[in-house]
Amino acid sequence: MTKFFIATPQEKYEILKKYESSKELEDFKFISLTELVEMYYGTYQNTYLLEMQKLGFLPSVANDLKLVLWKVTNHESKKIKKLYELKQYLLQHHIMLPATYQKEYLKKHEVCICGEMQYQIPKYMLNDMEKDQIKITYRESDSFDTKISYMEFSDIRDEISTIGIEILKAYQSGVSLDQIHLLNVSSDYQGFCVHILELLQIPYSIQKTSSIYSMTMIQMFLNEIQNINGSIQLLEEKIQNMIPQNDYERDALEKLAHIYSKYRKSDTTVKEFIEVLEYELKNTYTKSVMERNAITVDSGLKKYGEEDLYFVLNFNQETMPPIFLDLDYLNDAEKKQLEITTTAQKNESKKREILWLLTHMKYVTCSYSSGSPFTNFSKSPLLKELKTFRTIENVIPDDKETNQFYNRYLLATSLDTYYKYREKTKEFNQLLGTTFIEDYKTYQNQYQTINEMALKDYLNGEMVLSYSSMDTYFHCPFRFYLRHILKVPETQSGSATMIGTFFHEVLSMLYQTDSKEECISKALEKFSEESDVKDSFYLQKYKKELIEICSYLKEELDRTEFQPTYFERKFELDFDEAIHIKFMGVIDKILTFTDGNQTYAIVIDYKTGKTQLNLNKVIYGLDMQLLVYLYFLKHHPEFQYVKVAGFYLQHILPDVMNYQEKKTYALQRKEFYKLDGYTNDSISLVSHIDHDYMSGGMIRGLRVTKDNTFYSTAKVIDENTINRLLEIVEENINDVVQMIQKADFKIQPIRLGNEKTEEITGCKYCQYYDICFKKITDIKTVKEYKKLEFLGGDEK
Amino acid sequence: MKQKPLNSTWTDEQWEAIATRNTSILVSAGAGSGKTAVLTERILEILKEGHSILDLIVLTFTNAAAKEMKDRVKKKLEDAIKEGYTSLEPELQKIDLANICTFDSFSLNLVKKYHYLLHIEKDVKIGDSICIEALKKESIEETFHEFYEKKDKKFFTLLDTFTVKDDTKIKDIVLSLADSLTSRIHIEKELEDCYKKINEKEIEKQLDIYVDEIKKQVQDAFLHINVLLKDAPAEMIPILESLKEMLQGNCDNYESIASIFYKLQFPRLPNTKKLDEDIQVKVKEIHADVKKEFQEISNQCIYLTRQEYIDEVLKTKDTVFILKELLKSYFLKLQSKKQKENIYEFHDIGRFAIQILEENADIRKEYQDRIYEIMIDEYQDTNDIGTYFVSMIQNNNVYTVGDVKQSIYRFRNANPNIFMDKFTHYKENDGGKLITLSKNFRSRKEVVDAINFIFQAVMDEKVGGVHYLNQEEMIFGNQEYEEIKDKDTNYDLEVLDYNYRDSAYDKVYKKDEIEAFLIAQDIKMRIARKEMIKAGKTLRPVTYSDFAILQDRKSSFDLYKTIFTYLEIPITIHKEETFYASEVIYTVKSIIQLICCIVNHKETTKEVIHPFLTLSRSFLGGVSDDLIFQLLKRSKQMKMSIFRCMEEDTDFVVLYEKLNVLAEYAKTHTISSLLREVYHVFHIYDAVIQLGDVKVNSDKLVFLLNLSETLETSGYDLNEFVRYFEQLQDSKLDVSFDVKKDTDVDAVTLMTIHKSKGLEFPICYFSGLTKEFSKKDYKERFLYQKDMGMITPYFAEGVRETFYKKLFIRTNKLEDISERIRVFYVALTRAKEKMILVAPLSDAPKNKPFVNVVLESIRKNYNSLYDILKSIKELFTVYTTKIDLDTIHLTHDYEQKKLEKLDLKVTNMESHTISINEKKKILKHNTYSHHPTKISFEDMDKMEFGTKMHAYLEMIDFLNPVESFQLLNLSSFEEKKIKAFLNVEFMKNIQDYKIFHEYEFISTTSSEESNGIIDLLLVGENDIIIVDYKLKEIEKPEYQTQVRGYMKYMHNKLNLPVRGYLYSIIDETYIPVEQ
Repeated sequence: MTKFFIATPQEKYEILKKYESSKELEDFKFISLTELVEMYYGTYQNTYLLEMQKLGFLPSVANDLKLVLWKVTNHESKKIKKLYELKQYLLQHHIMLPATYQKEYLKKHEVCICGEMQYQIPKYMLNDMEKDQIKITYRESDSFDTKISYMEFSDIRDEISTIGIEILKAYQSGVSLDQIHLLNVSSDYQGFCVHILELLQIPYSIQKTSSIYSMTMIQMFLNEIQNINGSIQLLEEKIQNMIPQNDYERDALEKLAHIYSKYRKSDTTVKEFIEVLEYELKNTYTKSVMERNAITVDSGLKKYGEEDLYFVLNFNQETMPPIFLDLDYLNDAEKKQLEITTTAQKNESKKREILWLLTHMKYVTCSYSSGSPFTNFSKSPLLKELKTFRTIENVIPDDKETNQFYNRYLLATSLDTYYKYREKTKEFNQLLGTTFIEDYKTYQNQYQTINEMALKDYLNGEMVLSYSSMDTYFHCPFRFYLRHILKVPETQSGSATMIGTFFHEVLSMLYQTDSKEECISKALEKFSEESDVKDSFYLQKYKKELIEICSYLKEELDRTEFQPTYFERKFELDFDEAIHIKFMGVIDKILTFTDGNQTYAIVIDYKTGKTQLNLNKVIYGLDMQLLVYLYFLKHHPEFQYVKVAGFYLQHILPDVMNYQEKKTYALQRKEFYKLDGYTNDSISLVSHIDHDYMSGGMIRGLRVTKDNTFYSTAKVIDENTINRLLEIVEENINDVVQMIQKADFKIQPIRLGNEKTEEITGCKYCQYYDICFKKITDIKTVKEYKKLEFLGGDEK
Repeated sequence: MKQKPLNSTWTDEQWEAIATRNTSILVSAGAGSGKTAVLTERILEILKEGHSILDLIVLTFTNAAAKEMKDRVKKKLEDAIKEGYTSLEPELQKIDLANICTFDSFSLNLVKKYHYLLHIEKDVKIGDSICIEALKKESIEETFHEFYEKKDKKFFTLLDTFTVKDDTKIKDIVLSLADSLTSRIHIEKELEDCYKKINEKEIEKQLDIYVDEIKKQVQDAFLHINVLLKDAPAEMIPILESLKEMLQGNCDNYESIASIFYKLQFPRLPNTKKLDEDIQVKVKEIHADVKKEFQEISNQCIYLTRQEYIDEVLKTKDTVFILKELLKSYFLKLQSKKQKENIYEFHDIGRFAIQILEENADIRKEYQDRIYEIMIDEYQDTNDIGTYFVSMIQNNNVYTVGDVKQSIYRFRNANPNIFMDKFTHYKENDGGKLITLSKNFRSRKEVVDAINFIFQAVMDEKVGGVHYLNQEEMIFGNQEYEEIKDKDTNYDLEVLDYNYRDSAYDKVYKKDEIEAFLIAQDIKMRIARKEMIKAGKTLRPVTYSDFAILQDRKSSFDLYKTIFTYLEIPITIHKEETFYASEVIYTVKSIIQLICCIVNHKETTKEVIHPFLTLSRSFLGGVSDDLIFQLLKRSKQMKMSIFRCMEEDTDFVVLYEKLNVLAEYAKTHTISSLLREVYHVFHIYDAVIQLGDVKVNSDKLVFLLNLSETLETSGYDLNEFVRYFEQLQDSKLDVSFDVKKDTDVDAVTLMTIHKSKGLEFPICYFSGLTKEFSKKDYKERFLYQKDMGMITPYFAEGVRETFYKKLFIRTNKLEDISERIRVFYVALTRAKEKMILVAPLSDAPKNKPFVNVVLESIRKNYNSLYDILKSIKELFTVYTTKIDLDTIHLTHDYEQKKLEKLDLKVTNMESHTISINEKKKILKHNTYSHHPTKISFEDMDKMEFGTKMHAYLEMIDFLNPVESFQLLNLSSFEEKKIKAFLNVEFMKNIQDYKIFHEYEFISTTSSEESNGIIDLLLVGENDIIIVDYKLKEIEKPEYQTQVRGYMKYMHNKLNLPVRGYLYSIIDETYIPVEQ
């Protein structure tokens, strides 16, 4: 007669070990609980889940019903009645296959339930088997005079570190790491365990099964088959062609193949199969890796070796015992009718199982803490049923006993408190001077300069600078270094760049052709080559916008004596230093006018965005664009003697505008297009710029009183001021050129005035914040000027 | 109703709330009225009556509250059992199964239980906000794509009207509308309704509401003028008279109001130059006042006729239509994505629960029949979804308890109107019974009185939500306080008033600094004076932990902590930390990115340089910028990938090897394992010491690890983990987590008012009152509101807004201010023995006189808690203590880094250290079996056949096979195969052998432990036979080795000669195996 052992892997191992040395041969066999169920009640067709899916059952429900269905009889309850009908259907179609000969076979032998399995095996099944006169015996493990210690803490890290020290002591006294187990480490505990164990440098091995579902290979496979129309057989080749990269993947692939092979002959489509497949994959686990020389960290309560040391953490109300709720497909009332395990019975069994386990471990320490940084816990009710030989409440870790690494953590946290609030904690007093902590807060994020020669070499001795890269430098030199020297990529919104290029292109051609339609269409063609519906919609929209701005620009031309002379005009200045610097720029539009011997120029830059002109920041090298352009003019032989009549931004793409009383939309747009910038303060010159200047013509805010003087709010500027501004610009340019030579790229974002730390100008839109690790002390705060105060005295 | 026991300490109202049965009940319970005690007592009474705890549903709004409630009930039961109610024993056992939980977890359980009815998987999870955000982003992109592809005309018109550069704006609008819709029960229906509501009749309804308020204002103005006329200076009389005449009889119809107020020209100020100065002032004041009042009315009269208002709303019809369509499509896509990953938000779960109940009358009925009572605590915090949900399972058996004055969670969709509706109905015994608990047992009479006079003056139905006066006043109830009282301690309300504006201090110190110093000094003084508070039946002197400082916001918490520590007063603060934006997480992110690059062979500079720079510059990289630059230079010049350069560079090779090892590890491990390994390899928990802020940084690392575990179960692999980080970066969302305060220390508590809800402290300070309420941004143009539906602008010579928007702002502003007043109420009711308000009241002008209640127009414009105090300044006169700032020892010393220079050197290494030098190693478990190399489904079929044959061979009685054949119902092929086996040579004389099937054993040698299973083991007296069944290919050497292992083991064990055979079932042949 064969004895069928139902045992946990550990018990099986122990039994086998016992027989290894014995000279007797015993006739026994280990079977799993599932195997016993199959031998006693029966099995299901491989395709069961799929068949059930066709009948409207989710795979998980179908799976849960596997055991229940054997017990279903005809009942009044509607749900059970339906299940009964289902059962009849499954039997008729040979999807459900009751055990026949296996059951008979079992009757001739003996079923022996080992240790804790008595709490896992459903009671009703045992009853059924007994009724069928199957011999059932129990095998109790040796029970010990278990000594359970119990400790209470107020903080989770105290708990784990105290246990950690216990582990170290045990290790020192000769216990192998493999014999030490941290149990009941639930997910909210695991992170903290890892923290402390890492600090104490105790090697650990987390006992965890992870499903193969989240493996890249499997996810890729699932993505790939998502849209396959056709029968499931199409997958066969796909699976066979998969190439695993390592053992781990090979194992998963075999498991996938195995799942598939169960269904591969069925008459179904890939689409129908996916739900079942995903369910199966989620419930199929990766090969577990055995690790040695490490303590085990287990989320459950599990018995390993007999002589081993167990630490049951987290002895709290939620986990000890865990509570099952009445959430199954069949509710408790229905379960009662079918005489299967109810929730209460399940909970009771679980509790018994835990108590059994705790009393069958020789050396156990249970511990509990009332809180973690994230949550609070309550004590377990099981405590009342456990006999502990040693109970210590309010344990405070003894720092003398602890390990240097953990002490470093404690001292460092105390130093933090001290530096933040001047408070000296207990640990501060105890550990300072006895714990190595010289590296505390030693990390420096500052830029340490790089070798100048190396930089020259890197740049092949030359570098191109533009107005905007210079602007970046003044925002933050390190940002400049990353963007313009190392060229670390940034993600940019595609549409913004496209709009800019598109508009500039059209406008540069505008004055050279007669037909604006034509030049827009030409540009449009180029951009619409690879566009989708969305792009072409917006291109049409831009086209409309362009027509508007173009007509406006034409109108503008009629009111001025200035002639559009240059478009997209390139300028270049050379700085012949060790690193040769080419300073380059492109001016969107230059208008000129000659009065006698004197030529005047207007410089215009088109803006599709919202940029505003603010000369007050020029002192810090910011917003220098138009002044830089003037600087170019001044240093160009052709323009050397030209006087500046004005410099402006021209916004060419208005956002949707709000209704304004007494204004048509068209009028609002016209106002929007007005030139925005500074005008030479000579009234006579202004009349050449704009015939209609008296009526507030084409320059924003340039209002003139009846007696022909400018309003105080008008943005006018005299030559002297321009020259002084240009001096500043020149200084700034030279500074940057020199700083580059010196490889000076310090982390120093600029903050204007009272800007909030998280919104400072220097870091606005910067994507390198995770490279510089900026600290508040790195920020350079400067005074925010108004009305060009930095020039001394008010602007005129 | 059961009689109140004679010795009971419950008040009659409390007892009524405990013992009333067979009806729905609303208990309107003021602060400190013992509502939770009453609720638990009621539960106990019900259980004593023989009902089961499982027949009750007790709902709360936070997990902490649920936990506390459960603990209280448990304690009550234990006590009752001790007192002899042994019949309650089983109820105590069941307590963990009881439905004492939050609304959210109750609905989650319902959904888990009936998940199959919705055809979703049981393990529904609440999604991490970043993951949900990612799904939303994908859904909106797909929705827009769909509408572009459809070339939907209305869609294009929408884009054309409201966008210029791209469609981002409209995407954001759809997302934000979707967000406001999530608190609704039937989203799709409401969306349809939005569109249907754009008709004259519905708009008229809203217009009536809009106009009613204007009418009321006109009436008020009229009354006001009449009052003014009584004693206004003569110069003002003609103006007032003319205004009066204007209004006379013109207040009840919009058109006549509009004829006056539309583009109103208010009469000019009369010439007052010749008058006395005080009359001048008075004239100006009255003129300004009335003008303001008129102007406000005028601002609301946008059109002359009602029809114009209606017409403008009608113009939004197409916009509403297309937005509705976009939203519908978006929700559909989002829902299917959520379903795929089985992650949801709580409001989804709430709606699912409702759907289950709506569609399944039997489930609804089951609850209605089975549940004895549904109890809801803090009912003022209920929301629409929860209320609807309860309405479906109730059966005139809902017991609700709360205090509408403490409703402060509107930002989490709490709707205090639900409470008020019930209140109004139940008051008239319509649908249930109203019980009011107005006795306050928490606080001293002085505290209760002060709260009453403050809120009488500022809280009414219009502003605040309830009529405080006569209806909601608290009645002092704890007489013990009157008996236990120290004659030298002043329990009255105190206002610590200081003069700030134009003082010597306003340029030098911030108000927060002054208040912190002031409170600190005050606390010290009270302790020094040994002020007494009640402790049980006696008095005891105050200690630090008796004091709490409550503030509306936590912006100055660190400042307080620093100042208090400087002044040597222990203080604990409670605040949250954010997770993502920090050096430590950026660094870990860069490591994960680099590992991902290695694993995916993405090694171009473009891909690698950013994370490379992050890591090398970080505390874990620790490489100088110069060295980094040298490496990048080499990479550029030699055209070599950054990784290759690292490999060859002595300064980087260690870093590279770590990454490489981790990349190898990543190939065979999940993301959480990988992350743990990253922490391990970089000794990160120790390394963070270099950064400081060690606890917070460690917590963040723990948080990230927990997060990775969660993501992993949703199927996240390495690539998706990297994308998760990117999403985190893009969405600018951050996850914040609570950092718990230390407990059990004698320290002053500093916390926000919201956090303090439900708690009580002997002495409370209220400071930081001058901080302005965070300004709600009403710039949003596209809005959703449940009565008006979708509020959108329209285009006519520019973008214009309809009166709906004005109505929306009007209601919302009022509700916001009402909520702020309630927040103040919550704050003040925390105090047990004494309240101390700290504010620069001296700076405030004398408040305007009022009778009973402060003028609505003033309250409607409250902008800080300080404004509330200002408006009732006169009430505080007797309670005010003027503080001379010269006496509170203000100093900036606390912020100077006058910290003693710490010597961090080790001077004395006392503690002994135990350390482990062993390294973890990975064990490859040895078995005697082996794996095939290529997937072959044919082989799999064979294997299945093999398994079956193994089973048959195990079950067949070798000595009496024929009988077994019948039982097993074998096919003829199978029977033939088995017969063939039984006929082979070595099976012929086995009658005397003991037969073992599938004999399992462990064999240990010095180097390894192996596990084996012998298919067939025959043990005779003189020898042993071992057979291993194979399907085919029995010649394979590895099979031989396997059997040889078995033979060796058996030989050693039994010391008998062993014969071994490999048998091929298919070929019906065998070969002997040599020892």
